[in-house]
Amino acid sequence: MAGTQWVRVSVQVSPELVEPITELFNRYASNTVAIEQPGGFNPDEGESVNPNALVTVIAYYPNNSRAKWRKARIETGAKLLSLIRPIPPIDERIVDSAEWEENWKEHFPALRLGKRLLVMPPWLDAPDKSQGQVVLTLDPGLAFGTGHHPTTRRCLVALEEHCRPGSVVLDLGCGSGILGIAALKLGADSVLGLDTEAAATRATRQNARINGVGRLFHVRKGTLPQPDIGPFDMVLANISAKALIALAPQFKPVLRSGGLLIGSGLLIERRDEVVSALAENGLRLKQAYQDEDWVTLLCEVG
Amino acid sequence: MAKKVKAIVKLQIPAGEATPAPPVGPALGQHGINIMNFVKEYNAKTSLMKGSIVPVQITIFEDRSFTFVTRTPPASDLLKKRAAIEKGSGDLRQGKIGSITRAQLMEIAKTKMPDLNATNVDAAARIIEGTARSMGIEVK
Repeated sequence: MAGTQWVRVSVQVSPELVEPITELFNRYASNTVAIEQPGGFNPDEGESVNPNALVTVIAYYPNNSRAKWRKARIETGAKLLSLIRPIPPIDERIVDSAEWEENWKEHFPALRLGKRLLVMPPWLDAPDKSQGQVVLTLDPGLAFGTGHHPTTRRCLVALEEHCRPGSVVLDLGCGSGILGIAALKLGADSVLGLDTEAAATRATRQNARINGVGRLFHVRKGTLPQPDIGPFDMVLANISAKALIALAPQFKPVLRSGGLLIGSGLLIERRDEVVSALAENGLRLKQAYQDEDWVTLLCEVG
Repeated sequence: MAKKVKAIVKLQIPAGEATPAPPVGPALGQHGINIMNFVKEYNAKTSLMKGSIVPVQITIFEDRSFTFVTRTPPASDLLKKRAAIEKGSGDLRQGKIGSITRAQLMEIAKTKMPDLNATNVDAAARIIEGTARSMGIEVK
């Protein structure tokens, strides 16, 4: 369906040019500037944005009778600015509001995982043939864990294979709550979710409620160690290599004998380092799952 | 959770009034993130600051989940509101175009403290006073 048409102007510049370009775009494109820095780093591993990376400045204006005037002003402004420092040509294209109003939903199709798991966004109806399937309804948004990342996918598969009915589970770094919700739907008795971010604990509570497991999913803001918790049959920790190494001594004390840890969030090159930190703390590697560059570890107390 | 960052998007949006219109919709939609979820959260978080422009930094992760932090409104925005002017002076030689009281300056400095590189309110006030001067606003 066609929506309103807009002109999107954008230019990729060095960080010191961001402010003047923003000022120029704001002046002639009615305060609709978005500044975008590239990602490619993992904050949980202590990495941060590259301060010298090129930044994209984007603005939008309606594709109407004033569009030509705005375009001319922006081009003149850019020419003047390039007298101080060269600016690459400004990219211009027509965009339709339909492109963003509904199309983002295409990125969240229903996701089948393992033998029985089906992760569904709330705007799709679960298919009729869902008998026997374990359906997780997840509103993708705030807090990590939409199911569409290799680490979450592999954790869900490992969970389906190893979560025994009646288990008591700890979901450490629960994010959206997807793993804990899956554990409960697979028959776990109760889950305790811990996350250091308030947005995550909120998202977990909300998603647990949507899935009808709110009463069984207890959520606290924080990390390990915690007073008066455990012992657990299983600990889920989809965090990062750095966090798994730092938390390695904390897992065994909260696990029952024979209890399992599903540890994830690490890239393949950090695997050995994490496995040995866990082994030094009484957790033996049982199985490793790889998905793209990411590894998920299944370890047993022993 | 294992969250590799895909992009960081910075926007300036009127408090409590985010909508899926540009820049919010296309800037977030092109990364495939849930626009309505952001709009709802942003408006809830900024509803008490209505009337101000609140800059927001949105971190988008590889699985299209996101988090965001809001900053205090730009000093120029707060100054314009207090001095009751629409925009700053384009030519400082033409003299002052508005004024604020010292008490109002201190109030703005207190609001901006969390985002300024200042150890106390007096230092923050000096930074804000500099911005005011560059806009042609006098502090009385």
